[in-house]
Amino acid sequence: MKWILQVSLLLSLVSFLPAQKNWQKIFDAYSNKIVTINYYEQILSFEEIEDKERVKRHLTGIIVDDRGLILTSSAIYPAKIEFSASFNMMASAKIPTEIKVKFKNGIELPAKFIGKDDDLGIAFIQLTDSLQTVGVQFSKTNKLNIGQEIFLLTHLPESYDFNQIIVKRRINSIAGGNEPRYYFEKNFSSLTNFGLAIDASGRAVGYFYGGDRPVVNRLPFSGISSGGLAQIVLFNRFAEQVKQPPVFKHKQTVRKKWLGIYMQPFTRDLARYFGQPDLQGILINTVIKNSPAESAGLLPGDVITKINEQPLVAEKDSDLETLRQIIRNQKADTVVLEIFRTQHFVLKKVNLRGSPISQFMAEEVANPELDFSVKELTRDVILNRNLPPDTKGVWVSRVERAGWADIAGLQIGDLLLAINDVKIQSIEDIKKIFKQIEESKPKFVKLFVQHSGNTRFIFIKTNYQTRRGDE
Amino acid sequence: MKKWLPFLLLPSLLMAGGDLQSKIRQARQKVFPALVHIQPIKEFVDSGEPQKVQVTGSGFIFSEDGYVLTNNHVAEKARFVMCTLSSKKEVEAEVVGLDPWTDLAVLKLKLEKSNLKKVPFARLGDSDQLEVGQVVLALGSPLGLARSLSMGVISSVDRYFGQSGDMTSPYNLWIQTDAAINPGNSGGPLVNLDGEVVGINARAITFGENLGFAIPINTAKYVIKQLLEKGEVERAWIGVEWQEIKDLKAYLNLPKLQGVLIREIDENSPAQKAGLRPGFVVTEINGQKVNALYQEELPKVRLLVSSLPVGQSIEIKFLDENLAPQKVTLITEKQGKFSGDEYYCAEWGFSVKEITPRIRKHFRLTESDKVLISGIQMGSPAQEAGVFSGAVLKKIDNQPVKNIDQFITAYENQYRKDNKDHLLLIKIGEVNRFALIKGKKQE
Repeated sequence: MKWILQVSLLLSLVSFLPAQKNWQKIFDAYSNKIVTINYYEQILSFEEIEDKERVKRHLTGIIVDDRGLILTSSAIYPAKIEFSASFNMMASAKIPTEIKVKFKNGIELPAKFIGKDDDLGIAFIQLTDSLQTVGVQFSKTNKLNIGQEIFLLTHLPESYDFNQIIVKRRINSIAGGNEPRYYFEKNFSSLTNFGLAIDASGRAVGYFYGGDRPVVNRLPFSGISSGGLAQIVLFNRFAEQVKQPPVFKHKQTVRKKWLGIYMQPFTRDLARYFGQPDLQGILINTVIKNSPAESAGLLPGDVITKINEQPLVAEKDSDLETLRQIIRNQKADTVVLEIFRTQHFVLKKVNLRGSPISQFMAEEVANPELDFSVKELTRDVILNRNLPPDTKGVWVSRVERAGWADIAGLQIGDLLLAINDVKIQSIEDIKKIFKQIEESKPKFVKLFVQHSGNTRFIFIKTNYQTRRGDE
Repeated sequence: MKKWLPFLLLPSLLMAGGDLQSKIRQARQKVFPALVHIQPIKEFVDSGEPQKVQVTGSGFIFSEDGYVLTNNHVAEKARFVMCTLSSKKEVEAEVVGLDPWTDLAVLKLKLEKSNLKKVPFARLGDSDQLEVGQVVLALGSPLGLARSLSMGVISSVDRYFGQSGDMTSPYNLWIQTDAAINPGNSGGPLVNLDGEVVGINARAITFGENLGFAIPINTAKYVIKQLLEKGEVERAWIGVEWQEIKDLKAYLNLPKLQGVLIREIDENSPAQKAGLRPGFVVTEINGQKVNALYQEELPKVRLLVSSLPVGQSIEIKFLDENLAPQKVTLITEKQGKFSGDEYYCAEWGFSVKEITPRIRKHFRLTESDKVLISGIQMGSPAQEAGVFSGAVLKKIDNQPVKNIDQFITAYENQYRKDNKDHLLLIKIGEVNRFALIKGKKQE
């Protein structure tokens, strides 16, 4: 009786061995190609005109070539480069500092920030010492199937000493048409929602990341994530970025193309209302002022039926992504749109431009004597504050807590219209006037500000003439 | 004589101290019969649907023929007002006039209907004579507890509140008292020990202790007169927002400077057309010298402007950006409505509201924005079409919405009955959206 048990145990072991071997093989093949990255992120404070605090963070990275290029999550630099309607105030505009890459063998090497792609949720860093590295060779797999097994290699959180973890999941959902998004149930703890994705035959197919917005929560101690759906991005979507990584050059960063419209699906009901039941396309509802779309003469109510002769179909909101991606990743500076307007088709040539910068890229000027900082106005701030689209000038970005400006009543978000009766139209104007104030050392400075639609004067008492001790 | 004065006063002081109890009783007896417990039924549109609610407030009769003073926020939107007199007799009342700017309202009791000829009324005092520390009584229905009395002292006679939200009070300062005031006291009288009404209890700070606020009766006297004569308080508007000059004086180092600083000029206002600009210091309005060193002095200036004759030429003297004396004449306009009319579109399932200059400024809308979508009914055709509350209604079937009356006429005569699809263009901020409201029958 006993031997039956032993034999069956042995049999079960034998049958499990190949699987175990496979896991081990995959782990061994890639574990030295994923690394932990640690760096410091400056913590933004609105109540202090200088960033003093910083926090150490950790991420997972994937070595992607032999020159020390490492792919990681765009969470390493959460500030948006381009303007967008959603307005994340909390991210710091300072790039990560003291980046160090720790290899599996324990060696730690310094690295520098190269750039990022917010659409893909990825960033690149590179080792500063020229060093031969062995990168992941990605397979050209361009399709995953529902139910397909996928291995995911990443790191555990700090409390588990950043140990590597390998898990097996299956593709649970596939969304989208031309560029499908592959979702799996990500219900394991990891350092971040980022890591390497490998198929059952041991080929690296891409990376995974948690959802469309990598790290929304930027509180200092929020490193751990678990639960929810994560997405696998196949190599064909980021191969180009690996070959030629996006380079961050502050304002000069090459930005994606921008048309300057808001759009909505052109549904069957709308098509019937327009008297064209078979017409398909995308309905423009808003044309942004001073945008390529406005220059090209596009109008709200136009239906875009084709872009560069490619037909467009949008029945639901998620279908709008197709046109958005075509525009954003457009190589050429010009596209031709076919427009349906007042029962006629017209062709419109549009000269695309780079997307406007976000407020994070805007120049900030601090005045430590008056205790406040200002930033040049960017489109996202104009949109968010509901200002007239052609508003020029600067806004108050920080006010030192209990500083002179704070005491006088200046508030973050105030639009600064004039200082000492001199109109402010640009950041250069402010630099000039700050210099004058520093030279003339007045007792009071008169500001004219707009605060939530109302204008008023604010008189800041300076401390030029009352130094400590002689009050 | 002076030597003797203290001795002469002493007995009366002793009397007052010892007799506080009876003074309170006497004062109460004078006002109590005029006290009114008000329970209006309000009809309004909320979440795109008509709603009804009964609320509780207070008020008092100030004339023997049955005129009642209360708060605007008690009486506004009331379709039916039932008042309970201190005798517990119930008398119906009608709204004579409302003044949201001062939060005051006048009602008229329908005495004949209740077979009454005369009713007891309270005498109005002089709120300019109030002093901090003076004992006052608050009467009313706190939290619906009718005919309550509380006592306290005047804590301040010149409390200033900035303009924010619906509770603005641009033309008056507030009497602050520690007499307990709760919701439901609104509209009730604040009474001195002579039994004269000196204020109308209107606000309390709910997270504070004993911080009640009353509108001075002298402000009310002016409003009562206007409401009884015209049914509304007509105010002049020139389009200027004011700021006190305390800091400006320090900045300019001109201790003798007098006037009021212009902090804002409204678009297309008489002031803008006359060339007035922010930064100018106004010294004289229509022959009257003005001065506001502190913000507590601003309501006085606003009151002066608002009581200028409407549609008439007035002169303003001011100091320009170089402090050179200048003068302009401008023609005053009538002040715009406090809030717009609301209209409920039953078939589409939303409510719309007229965009008044005040709303336009508050939401930073443009001149061409005329109609606001104020509420959406759940499950309505409008909600299904993607119309949302807070958006501006710009166009219907590519035709601009010019004003609320034009929309209402078109809606009543056409849209609600033609069963056709209608394409709405709505706008939030700078972003538009098309919303297709489907007709009942497809063509």
